[in-house]
Amino acid sequence: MSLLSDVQTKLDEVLLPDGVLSFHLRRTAVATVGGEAAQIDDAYVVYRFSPARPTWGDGKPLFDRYYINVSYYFKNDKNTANSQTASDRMDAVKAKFLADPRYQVANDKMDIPDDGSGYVGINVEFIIFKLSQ
Amino acid sequence: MQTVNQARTLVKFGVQKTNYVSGQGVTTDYEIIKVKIGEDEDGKDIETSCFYVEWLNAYGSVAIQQQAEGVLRPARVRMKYVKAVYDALIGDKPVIVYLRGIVDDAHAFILASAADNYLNENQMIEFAVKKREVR
Repeated sequence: MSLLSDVQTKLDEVLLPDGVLSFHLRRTAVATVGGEAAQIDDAYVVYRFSPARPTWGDGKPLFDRYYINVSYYFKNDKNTANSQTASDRMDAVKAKFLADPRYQVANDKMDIPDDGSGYVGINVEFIIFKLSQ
Repeated sequence: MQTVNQARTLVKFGVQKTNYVSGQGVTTDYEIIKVKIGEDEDGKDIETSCFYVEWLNAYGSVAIQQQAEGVLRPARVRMKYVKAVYDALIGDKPVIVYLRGIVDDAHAFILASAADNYLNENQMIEFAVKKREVR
């Protein structure tokens, strides 16, 4: 399983039952989920990858590291229930990733301020260790 | 009074449809618009995706001016009012017009103007198209 589909699967297992969709790099307007009309939440997730320096040993890379930057965005309407829900969902996402021993939290929950779109967010950065090929 | 004079050009319309699959993310394709035109003897719907339109290419100085501004192969299209088509053209999802009904990049056009339901009479739709550039 590729890293992308592994991350997408983990996020969907946690968030899709609540109607929260997860996108690689860019949010897209979605008409159907699984080919059928579905209740889609205002909140959404965008994630991206960035490689870190590999760890070397005996003159060759031993394992690679990738940062996985997961941003959960939700409508900022000063509704405390919204931000509590967001925080709870990100805790669930963290628990899901940490249940897999390859993943660790690199940077824990961090606020994303409103950029004028009406959305604010919570960001968590994971790191995965993969054996080099 | 404006009318559709010579509806001789066949087109098809594709509406962007984005589907989300758990564990895979989003996939986007274009769904061809089909409308019911009748029923067979068993009561099953007969549908068509083919629409005949009056396709008038721009020419001369107008075309040259538009192409200088990056609007390639501009044309004015008139067709009989079809609700499903009109709703798609004024909707919020991108629509591709496939010239001669050939579904490929070479025959794909997009709207260059909003579609007009002429005089709001539900008789004729008029809109402008331009070549969809594939980069």
